[in-house]
Amino acid sequence: MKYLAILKDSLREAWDSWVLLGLLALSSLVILFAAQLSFKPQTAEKTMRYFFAQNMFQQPVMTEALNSRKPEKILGMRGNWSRFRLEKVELTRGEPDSPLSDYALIVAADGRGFGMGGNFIVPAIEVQGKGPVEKKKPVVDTKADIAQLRTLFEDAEEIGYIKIDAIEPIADDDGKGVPRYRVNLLSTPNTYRIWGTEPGVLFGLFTHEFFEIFAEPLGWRMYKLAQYIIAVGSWIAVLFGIVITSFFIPNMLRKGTIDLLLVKPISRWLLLTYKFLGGLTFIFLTTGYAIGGVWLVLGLRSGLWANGALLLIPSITFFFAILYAVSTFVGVVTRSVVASILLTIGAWVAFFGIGMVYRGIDLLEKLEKVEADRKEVDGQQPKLAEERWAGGWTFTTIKVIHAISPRTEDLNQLNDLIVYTDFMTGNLGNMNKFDNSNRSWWDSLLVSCIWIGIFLGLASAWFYWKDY
Amino acid sequence: MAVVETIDLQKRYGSIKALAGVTLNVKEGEIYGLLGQNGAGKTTLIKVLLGINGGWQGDARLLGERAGTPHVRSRVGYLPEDHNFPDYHTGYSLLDFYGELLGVAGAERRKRIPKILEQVGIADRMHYKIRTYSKGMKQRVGIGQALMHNPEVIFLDEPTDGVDPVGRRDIRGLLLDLKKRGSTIFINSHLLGEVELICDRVAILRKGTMLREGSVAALTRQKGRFLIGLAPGQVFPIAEVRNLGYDANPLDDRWEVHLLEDQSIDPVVDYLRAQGLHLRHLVEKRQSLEDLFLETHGDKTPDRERNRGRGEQSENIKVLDAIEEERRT
Repeated sequence: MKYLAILKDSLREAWDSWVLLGLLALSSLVILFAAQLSFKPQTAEKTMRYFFAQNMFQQPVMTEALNSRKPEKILGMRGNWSRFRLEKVELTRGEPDSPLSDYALIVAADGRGFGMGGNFIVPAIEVQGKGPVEKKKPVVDTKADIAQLRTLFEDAEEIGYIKIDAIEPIADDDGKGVPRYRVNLLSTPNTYRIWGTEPGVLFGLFTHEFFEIFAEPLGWRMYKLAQYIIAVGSWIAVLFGIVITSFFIPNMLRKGTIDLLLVKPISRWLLLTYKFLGGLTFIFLTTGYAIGGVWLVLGLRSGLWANGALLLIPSITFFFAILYAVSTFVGVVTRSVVASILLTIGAWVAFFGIGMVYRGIDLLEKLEKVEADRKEVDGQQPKLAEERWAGGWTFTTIKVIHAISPRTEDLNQLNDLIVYTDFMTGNLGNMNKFDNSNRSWWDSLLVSCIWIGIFLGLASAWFYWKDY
Repeated sequence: MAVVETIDLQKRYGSIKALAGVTLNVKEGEIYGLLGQNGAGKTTLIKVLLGINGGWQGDARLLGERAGTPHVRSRVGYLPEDHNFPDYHTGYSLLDFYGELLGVAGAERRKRIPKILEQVGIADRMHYKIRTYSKGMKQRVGIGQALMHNPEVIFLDEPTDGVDPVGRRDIRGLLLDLKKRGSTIFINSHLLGEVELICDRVAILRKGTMLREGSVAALTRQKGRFLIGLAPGQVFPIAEVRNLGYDANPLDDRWEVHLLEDQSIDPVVDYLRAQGLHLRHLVEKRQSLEDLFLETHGDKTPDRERNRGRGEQSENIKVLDAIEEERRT
């Protein structure tokens, strides 16, 4: 009951400041924005084109979608996707343009692979002054082509979006010597998640061609949309939350106010803990409104119910708990709203910086490994340990700092992973398939919990011993 | 039973000794006033008793328990001096919030809050935000919240501060009413006249040390000094009374008779009656609490003396008259 009393008091205080109203209004706008979006399914041909590159410099949309969390894998593929071009899509079973149907893709291997190695056709060239030189004969290695072609679909097959029934060469019927292949794809109950979709606005009133530039596989489109909303929304929510809740503790500690609370039959540490939990509940409710609202309207509008994304509500609340613990500590010690806001934002920036730097070195390490593997395959000398970034003391220092500091950036990445996995597969059990980070999320949560405990413990100790 | 009891209570703020061995005892059902200049240690004493300030030495007990424990705090009401109620509350919601923290059930709160706010005189504004209240109204809300849970003892730090004369009278009435119902009230106040009117006992604190303690009557009595007033138009036979061996002097429209050792006032009264004079006023002279307070703090000039030169009747004489009037009725 006492907890509820303090919670109600915190909500009353936040409501009175109008910031809460602003936050709710902003959340409502985001929900309305999501609600007016529409998602129109594309044709089978447009969908299947996402498996192929538009040009030699651009990776296939599907490769990007399925490997967005593994940039080093894309690098490892060495651009071989640009060898293939989709010529035709044939319906082999079911309704046309339905994600429940099976399709056969006719693929021409007439492009040039971007990058080193691999099979590619060398086009005819002319050397100035020497006249036309002899056209080099294309090197055709059917086995290698089929293996490479399979790489374009294997990510989708691995997650269970499609099944590759067969990849077979087609007879050279145009006489130009361009190898062609027939790829038979079978649908699965999850195929609709990667089906091409074209967004529209104002409840489908405007689905102008302009929006086709935003057309992408459904799950990927929804993930990117949710990612923007959540990234921007959660930052704004946390910033508003910091501002609102920074008033709670200093206001409670004002002379003449704190006396009236300290004489109540409640211990000081419990009073502070309730005040902390009151702030968190406030954030939980506002985040719940925003995330729950976006989840609901996106589900209704797209038919893609990313229930796991609701985990973001406790996750963002936990993220905020780290910062609110800092704010509580600063508030108890300084009794200043301005100091609470500034130092909490400062801590947020510092934690973010540590997380980003760690993320950077994590990626660099992976890229170095890819490079080392490539050199090994090509028979080159790998880099010496002292030449590698990963072996240096800088990396070690950053890793140590990251290991012992609150992991707000890890939580950001975890949120991203949750949203991605849920929109792409609908099953958070697949998270590890998309997560190649060198960290344990449980470690991140534990270290952050310890920091929350440290900040709250210090604040409680100070509050306990202080005379008011 | 001692409701509040301290023995050699000491409290320091760094190098400053706020309480230097205070021993006091407040009995059940009495109104106890603590007087002292700013910084004398009055508020510190209350804060120690209520557990707001810790790190004290000596013994402090409240309602038979060690002072400051959460349990004993549930049995006391408190109005701090510089209260600062969250102004996003209304009078009603503030009492509801504090009542909930005190463990008063929801149904009981809904029943009690309007009654209490009626009692303190702001029922008609109970759903207005506190930020719209005047200082006096805030003071009334403060007293109301201190009564929220029917406390056994109530600590009021400057309860009539900022309240207009009518409001002060109402608060005095309320406190006397609470006393009648058995509540013990502990008051810190600068308004000595107020304290004198309602307190059974007072203590004077100076620099953390208890200088005087006792009932108001005992502390203000001036033994051997009587004030005599006669019926209108009658002349006090001052020379004859002096001849009887008494020291007599006019004081405003009355006469002050000073008894020497072993003298009684009875011979004077008998003489006046024998002369056919009608006594309208006879009271053992008391000094005002303010005089006592100033005397305790080193200012020996009584208030009456100071004001006489200006031809004014001091506030405290008025208070004394009021007390006498009250006692007569």
